[in-house]
Amino acid sequence: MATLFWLKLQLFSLFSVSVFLEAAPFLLLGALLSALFEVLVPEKTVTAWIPKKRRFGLLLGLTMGMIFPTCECGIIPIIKRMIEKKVPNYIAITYLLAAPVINPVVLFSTYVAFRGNWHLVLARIAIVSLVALLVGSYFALTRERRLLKADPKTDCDCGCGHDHHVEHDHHHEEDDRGGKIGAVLAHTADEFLEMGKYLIVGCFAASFFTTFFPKGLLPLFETNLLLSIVFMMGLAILLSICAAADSFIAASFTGMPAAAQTAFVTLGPMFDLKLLSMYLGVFKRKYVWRLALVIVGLNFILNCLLGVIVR
Amino acid sequence: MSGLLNKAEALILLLIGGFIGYLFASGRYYFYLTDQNRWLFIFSSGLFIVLGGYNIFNGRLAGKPLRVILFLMILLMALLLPPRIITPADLLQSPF
Repeated sequence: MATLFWLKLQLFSLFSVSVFLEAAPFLLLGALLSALFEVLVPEKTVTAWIPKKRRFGLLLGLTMGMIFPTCECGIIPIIKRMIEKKVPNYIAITYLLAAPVINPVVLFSTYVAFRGNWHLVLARIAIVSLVALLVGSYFALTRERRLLKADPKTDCDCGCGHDHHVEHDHHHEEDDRGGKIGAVLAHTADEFLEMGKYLIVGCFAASFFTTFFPKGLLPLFETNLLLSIVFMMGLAILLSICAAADSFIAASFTGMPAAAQTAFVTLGPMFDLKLLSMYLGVFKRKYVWRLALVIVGLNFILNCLLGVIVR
Repeated sequence: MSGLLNKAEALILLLIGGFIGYLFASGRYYFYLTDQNRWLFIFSSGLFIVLGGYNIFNGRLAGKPLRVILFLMILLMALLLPPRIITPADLLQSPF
């Protein structure tokens, strides 16, 4: 009994640390980009670059990942900073959902994992783009305003992210220590620790489910298209694997239909336990649940359609 | 207390950087897409160390207790890792 407990504990630790180590460098990169964006790019420049027409804004959000490739963990601090710098919600949300997949690194890894199967790569791009554009369009039409969670301790519009009173001068004395490089280093560290907190909670949740999920269920799902898609979507949510690596895991489920494998790689980068925890740390609770429902629903419908077409 | 937590956070960043560097140097951790991602792990290990070192002396971090506890937990868990190479198979090993 004690040995079994020890083995389970070891497995739990192994999974938690593996997911954390896999995501930490990407989260750090995201925090660094976010800090550079915060310190070096003035708000005026950001607003000048935003397209006036919404459809071009949506296209910008969809394709920005090709220029600024980031993973799903690293993108969250960037999105937070973008919204604080007055980038419209619909562009930020489209970028949030599309960039973790529609970027050169992830597309290449998908191509390698599926042994050069272009159909699966294109299916992944098509489904992710459709979901991102539909969710982005919703935000464009409804003009939802305050998407970000208000933090009573740090709620100031300057986006500096420091703990201080709301009424303050926008020239921060502490930012002058070490100049711009010092400000970037401090912002990066603080942003990483803040988002890392949610990443760790998500890692623990994913590990818990993985360690204690009943064995031997896999063959039950392989023969039925709908069940296999539901199973792989559930697995994507529970495992919380980084977008750069998830296609290798999906490809290892050789008995599953192609649509189920695609469901795993399209849903995971948009919504999983680790991301849920991180979304709840940044966005208002009501938007997180709406976003989760829409993402899961659209992924299910589009992957079922794919399954029917491919069959 | 806040000063102490501030230093603890900076120390945690140093430890994460050192741990990633150690795993990389000892070859104990399998890196996905080895050739593509290797630079990122080396870069992140170095950047963690720079961030930790800078913030230990400058004390500009928020110093939040929950962050310290969670990061210490994950670092302690790293001590429980089995003494062998971690592969993607480990991620699938348990239930399936």
